[in-house]
Amino acid sequence: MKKFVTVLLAVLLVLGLAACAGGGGTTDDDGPHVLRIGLVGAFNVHWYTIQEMVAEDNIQLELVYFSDFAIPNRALDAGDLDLNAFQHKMFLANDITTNGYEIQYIADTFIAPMNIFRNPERISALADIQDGHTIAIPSDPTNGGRALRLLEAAGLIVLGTPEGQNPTVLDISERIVDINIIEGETSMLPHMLPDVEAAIISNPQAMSAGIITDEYSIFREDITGPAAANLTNVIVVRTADLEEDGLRARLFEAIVRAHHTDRVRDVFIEEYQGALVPVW
Amino acid sequence: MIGLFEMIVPNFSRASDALWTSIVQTLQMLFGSFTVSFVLGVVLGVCLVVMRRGGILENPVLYRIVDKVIDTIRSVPFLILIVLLFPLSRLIVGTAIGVMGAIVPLVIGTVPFFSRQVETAVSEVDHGLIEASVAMGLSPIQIIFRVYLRESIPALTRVTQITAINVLHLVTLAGAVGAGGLGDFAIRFGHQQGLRDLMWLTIVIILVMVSIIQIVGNIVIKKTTH
Repeated sequence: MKKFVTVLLAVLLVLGLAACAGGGGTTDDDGPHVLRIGLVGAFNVHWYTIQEMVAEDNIQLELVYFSDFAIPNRALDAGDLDLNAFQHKMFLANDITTNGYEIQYIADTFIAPMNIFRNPERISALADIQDGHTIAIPSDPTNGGRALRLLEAAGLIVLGTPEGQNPTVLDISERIVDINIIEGETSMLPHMLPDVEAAIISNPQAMSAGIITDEYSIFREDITGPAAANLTNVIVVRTADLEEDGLRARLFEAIVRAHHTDRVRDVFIEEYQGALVPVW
Repeated sequence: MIGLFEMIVPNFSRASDALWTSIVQTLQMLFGSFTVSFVLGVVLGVCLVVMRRGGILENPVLYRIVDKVIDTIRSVPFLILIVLLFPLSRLIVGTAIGVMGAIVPLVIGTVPFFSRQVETAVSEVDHGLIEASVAMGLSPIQIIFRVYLRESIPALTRVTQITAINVLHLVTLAGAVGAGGLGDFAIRFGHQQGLRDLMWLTIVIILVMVSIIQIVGNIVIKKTTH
């Protein structure tokens, strides 16, 4: 019995050590380079195409899905991920300022113009929004702040925050139209639309709810101006990885190269129908 | 004293209005949904006990139906339950969002759990006592109120404590549909905006609420245990 326990412990120890070695992301010379990329949301089918393409460069790209926007940057900074692709530059800058992560973007991917969507049973145009009407916006700080800027651009409110800073509901300095603003979880907003006059919904969620059409959209974010550059989505990696021997940087380059191809652009056009606009 | 508080919670003044609103929202959701859930849960829990095989109002068919409905609802993750109940919410309270809209899913989410707890609590009543009551000629209604419910007050109080604290946690998820509340405040200001002081302050406030539920419950238990 004693012998059995000793053997069992030894086996566990060896397995544990092997697991640690594997977890470090190192590979032997023959095996593929394993890279883990953090993604959020349902609109990541283009990553399957990229996964397939980089396999030819001996890269095994593992897709790791998160349901919380606050986690993937933390996981990247801590070394649990090698890359992530779920955020725009403004979100990244915010997160780095707040949490002091040592991460940076290496490539632009797409931009998703935000819309104010109407509840067709209550209003037909932006001008119909009156005092006492309710507009639902995302509750997370970055999308919420972006939504508030959109309301400002639409001439409904005035914000007291300086340009470049992320506004919150507490920063509304004047309501040109006396609207109520209610904050909801991004994925809940399409379901909340029937109970409000209008809602600002991120494109992926609007697309899955089937409302991303000119019939529903009554105001669209300007994606040509300089402020919009901050809203471009990016691929992010650890800064330390770029400074290393160069192998990692070459692997990242291969992924970016695969991403910025016509083949992936076609996937965008076919799958996302204009909701996510490629920027390469 | 105030200086010390501001040192520990430097972001308090920035969000004090929002925090106050969230306390009110949590209390509204807690009391609004729990009073309804309490009544429905006790009724259903007692029904389960008296309708089961060998119960004083044996009804195996109805028992099985109630039993399965409870299991089904308990299997639905709460956020999904909220979405599924949107039409029912609109029918009953006129809206599916905000504090009012959250009450219906909170009730539906709580009742199955609470009725299971009540079932367990009421089942603990000594079977000999029930047999004696039947022999004495008490009607089923009399047995339910005078024996089952009265005898299980301490156990019922205990499961009420557990459930009330559970509801406090469910309320957090209702923030997803614009209902606000303390948990939502902690997530948005503390977790997402990185204002850790506000996160800890919120946790302390929720701890106070949990403690009040425990203390009040313990007093009731002490007074009714003989």
